[in-house]
Amino acid sequence: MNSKSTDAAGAYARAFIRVRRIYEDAAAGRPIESRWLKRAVLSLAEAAVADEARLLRLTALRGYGDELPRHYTNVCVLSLSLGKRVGLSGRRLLRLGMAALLHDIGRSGMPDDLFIGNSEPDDDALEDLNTHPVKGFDLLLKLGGLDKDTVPAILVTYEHHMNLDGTGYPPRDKARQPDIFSRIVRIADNYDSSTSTGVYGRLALRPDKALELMRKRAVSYYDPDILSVFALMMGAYPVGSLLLLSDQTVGVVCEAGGEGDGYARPVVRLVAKVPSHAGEPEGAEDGEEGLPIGGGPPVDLAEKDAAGGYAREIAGSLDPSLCRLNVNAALLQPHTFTRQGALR
Amino acid sequence: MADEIENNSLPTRSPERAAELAPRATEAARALVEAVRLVNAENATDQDKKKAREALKERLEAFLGEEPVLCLAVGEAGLSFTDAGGAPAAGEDASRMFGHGIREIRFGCGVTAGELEGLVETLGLGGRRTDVHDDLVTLVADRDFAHISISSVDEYEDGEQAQTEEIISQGDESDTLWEMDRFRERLARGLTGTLPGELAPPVPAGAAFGLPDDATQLFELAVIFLEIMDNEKDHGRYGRVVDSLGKALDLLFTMGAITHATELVRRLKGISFRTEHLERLAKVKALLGWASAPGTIERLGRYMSKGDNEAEQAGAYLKLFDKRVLPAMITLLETLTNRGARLIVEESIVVQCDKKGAALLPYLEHETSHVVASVVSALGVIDDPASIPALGGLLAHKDYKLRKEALRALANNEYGKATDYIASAMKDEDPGIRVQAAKLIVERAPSMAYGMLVDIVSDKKFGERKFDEKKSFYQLIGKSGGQRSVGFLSEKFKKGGLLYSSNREEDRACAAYGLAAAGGAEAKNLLKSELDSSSKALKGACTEGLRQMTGKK
Repeated sequence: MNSKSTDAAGAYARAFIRVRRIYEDAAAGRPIESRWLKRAVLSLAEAAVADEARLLRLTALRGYGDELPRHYTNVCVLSLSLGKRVGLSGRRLLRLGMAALLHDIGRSGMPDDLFIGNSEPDDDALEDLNTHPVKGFDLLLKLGGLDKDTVPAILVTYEHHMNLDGTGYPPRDKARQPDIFSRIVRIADNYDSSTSTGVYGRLALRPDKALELMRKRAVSYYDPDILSVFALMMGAYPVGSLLLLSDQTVGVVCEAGGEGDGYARPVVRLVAKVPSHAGEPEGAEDGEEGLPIGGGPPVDLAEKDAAGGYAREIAGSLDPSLCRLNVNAALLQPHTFTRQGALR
Repeated sequence: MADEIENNSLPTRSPERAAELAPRATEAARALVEAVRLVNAENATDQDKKKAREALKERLEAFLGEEPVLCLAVGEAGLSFTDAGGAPAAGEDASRMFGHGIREIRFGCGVTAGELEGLVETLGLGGRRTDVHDDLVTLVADRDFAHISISSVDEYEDGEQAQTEEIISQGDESDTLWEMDRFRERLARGLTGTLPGELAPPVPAGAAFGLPDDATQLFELAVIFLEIMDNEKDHGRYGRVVDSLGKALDLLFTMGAITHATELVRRLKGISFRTEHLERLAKVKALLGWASAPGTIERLGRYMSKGDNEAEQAGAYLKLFDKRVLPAMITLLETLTNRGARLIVEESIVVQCDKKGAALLPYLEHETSHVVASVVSALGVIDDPASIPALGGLLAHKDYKLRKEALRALANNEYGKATDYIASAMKDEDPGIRVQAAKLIVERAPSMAYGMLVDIVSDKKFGERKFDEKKSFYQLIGKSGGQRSVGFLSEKFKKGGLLYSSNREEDRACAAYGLAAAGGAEAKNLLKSELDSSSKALKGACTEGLRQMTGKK
């Protein structure tokens, strides 16, 4: 479907608001009114075609509170982008998006602090937590009913914690593989949870580290083919990564992914200059720390200088939560750069 | 959808060109609005609706013959050409499209009649159907049209806009300060970050992903229901899951996914065998009862009528059940007009009867001839000796086709009693059946056949029969009697022989064919002796007979 006028941020926000309401309704035992949720997914799907880079940046925002609706929305966006690359039609993307938004519906009615908190859940709490796929499955059957629209959501809700090697929960016949929608949502869900602080009481992993861990587990946990597509979509340093560059600048990854050079050389916004020695930052005295809040203009790390070398090398990736730079501000800068072919 | 639509790279037109195209675009817009209006018009006939769709296709083709894409803007006032003004095509349906958020409808080259029918039907849904819960935007998106697309807006609901800014804002103001201290501490400790991981860039997935359709996903879900049934401890939940499984099965039927439904019922039967809890067993049996109920089999019949593949799939489903479904199967036979589908039902009946024909015998009295023929055919394959008398009785039926079918069924039967009935069919009023019966007797009991055939041929009235039948009988005498038959045949063959009929030269020709079938030197010499016969028929028979004998070597 065409989407030239779709606003990615508006679509993201509407999905967020509506999914939050749906989860509240489900917790209260009210029927699931999916009409407006479907429209939100359609808008997200349109935005995933028209302005995917911006949509993916929105998934990397962190630290606002209301983490669970944000997580559901992020999983939906990541799943839609992944589903698009896997070759799903518009109709199937709509179903996938709905399933992704509702995948954790079994959590509704459970206290949020079971999922989000400062400490890891104990064994009892973990046991409770692990029932959410089954609870969600029962809830959707009860509140949503069974028809061809709801089937993918019920499937995904039940299967999104199942691993490819037969482990995970709830237990299943190992000869049966989870549905492809479940395998897509499994990847999107795991990535977003791993990179968010407080989910299951864990600290957020750096985006590149989270992806690397997932790739190492590819054979046993995830569908390796779909994970490959996801890894290419996200790049070695996914959106939201904080990179220390060879010229002692620090950049927030704003656009990433693709094959060739683009895979490991994302587009960044420079947000800080690092002093070469401990002490006051360079230029701090006269208030010229060098870069505006939200970062400077986008810099494509795949660009080469006149001599044919890369202008900047990546010295390493940093943990955004430890550096306390305003990554969000950089991610929310107006979209001014799209690397041709990087995300298409 | 055309690439141009997908990439938003529509060709730009000069105002002159747009003005030139405007009348055709407006005509197409009006045709669309009219076609949608007729979907819900109470006084519109199917013919009117069809004409309106054809008019729409015609108008679109008039535009798309010269341009790759037609874009119609959907406004409050109606549908209009995006590139030029002009009076919009207005109407209640156009207003509804706008109200549901549609802002543009695009048609690409190659749009099909089926797509247009789907679009018109979908856009008309909002005006009539009270059971449709989705809006038009979602319904159109759900159709996955290849050459039609829409643009839409998703309006904010109450209070959503105010919350949006909060969700997308950059967060707490204090975070905007660059707090470098900790960062510098890290640097001072040498924790400058991590270099790229050791993993190589991923390789793009080469093979196409197996993308499931709606029915496959529904089947996958139903398999989960079965898994839960096998492990669930809570009786209440077990019951709810069985109910859901029933809905899934019903949906699979609606979708025409009979292969999936078959596999599901097969597994469900497996569960019924290992379920000990009586209440649970009752639930499972009730579902199996639904799966084999007359109504379900009737639905299957409608599916079978669609084609050979569908009939094959339905056959696999029907074979899951036993003879208790026979009444429904007979009803199915009554309704099916396709011979191929009826054959599949017959095969299914054979499996359902499990080598016992008794349950089928009452249906030999059925008033519909083709139903009886199918039952007879099934009885033949079932090969139950108990059904031989009933089949034998049918050899006296007034319907030639049924007698023929009964003969074929008896022929399948290996029991001796069937041979007697087959032999009786050599006296049937129909020559085809008589010859067929004679052939069968020769195959089943050659020694007995010879004498019977000689008796028949020796009858005075046999000579009045048609040449082809007589030829067949003589050949069968030669075949069954071998050298023993040469004497008899030569008397029929030789002019002035004991059995010679002077007024029937063609009988000699038939005897010639019999001699050829019997073989041997004497038969050969007899045939050679008449190679110069003045009778064309006799000469031809001898020539042909000798050729056959030579070939037999």
